[in-house]
Amino acid sequence: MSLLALRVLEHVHGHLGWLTVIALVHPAILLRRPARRAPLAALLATLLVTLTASLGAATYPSYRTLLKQALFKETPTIGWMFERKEHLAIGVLAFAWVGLVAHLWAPRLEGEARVRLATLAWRAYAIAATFAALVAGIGTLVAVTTSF
Amino acid sequence: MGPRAALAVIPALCVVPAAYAIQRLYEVLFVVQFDPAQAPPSPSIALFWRAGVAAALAFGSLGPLFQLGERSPAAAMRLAEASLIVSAVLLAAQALVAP
Repeated sequence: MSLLALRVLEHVHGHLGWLTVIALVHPAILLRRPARRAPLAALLATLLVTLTASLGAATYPSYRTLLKQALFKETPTIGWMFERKEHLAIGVLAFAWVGLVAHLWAPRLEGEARVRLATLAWRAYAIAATFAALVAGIGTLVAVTTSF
Repeated sequence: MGPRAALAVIPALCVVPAAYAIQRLYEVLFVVQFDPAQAPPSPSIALFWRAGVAAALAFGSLGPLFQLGERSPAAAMRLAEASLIVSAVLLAAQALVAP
């Protein structure tokens, strides 16, 4: 992949990252009441998380070969922050999907089980949104320090 | 997919971040770590390996979790609720202390 393509991909990934935070906060707010239904918001937020994570995974091998060593030499603190961001991003992806599965399947249950699954969906989106905000913040910090 | 299948899929999805965090913690605690500033990156990408192993474990846990959902939906619900919190705390702790 050319440097220009990597730079474009990195910028798109960064901007989508912040959009993902907003998209995840939306169901995290909407679903705080267990009776509330928001399947489209949940679906779109989860698909956006998946797209953003896919772009990040596509650029990660190039980051390792082109930037990682230099980043750790110049600013090891930022380098370790980037590693933290990658770990938390795994959680964002998994917990967004947990939220979607729980939200879509909650109406099929009855009574207390339905409320508990709806609450679980809200918790999953709240955790995913919190992790995503950390990931996007750290990503921005890294991007102002080094870039393709 | 029925509602009981959802109670199997949720803890299985939570296995991914939990297994990922445990693998990274194991690496930091028991495997010699090279300084990233000194050593050039290896051809195999550890992050992808960890994620792949975690995904395989999650897939493998689906069968037993589905059986639990069939046998005891209440226990499956408790496991789903607990697995979300435990995996989130585990991943956050790992990211903080063992990046």
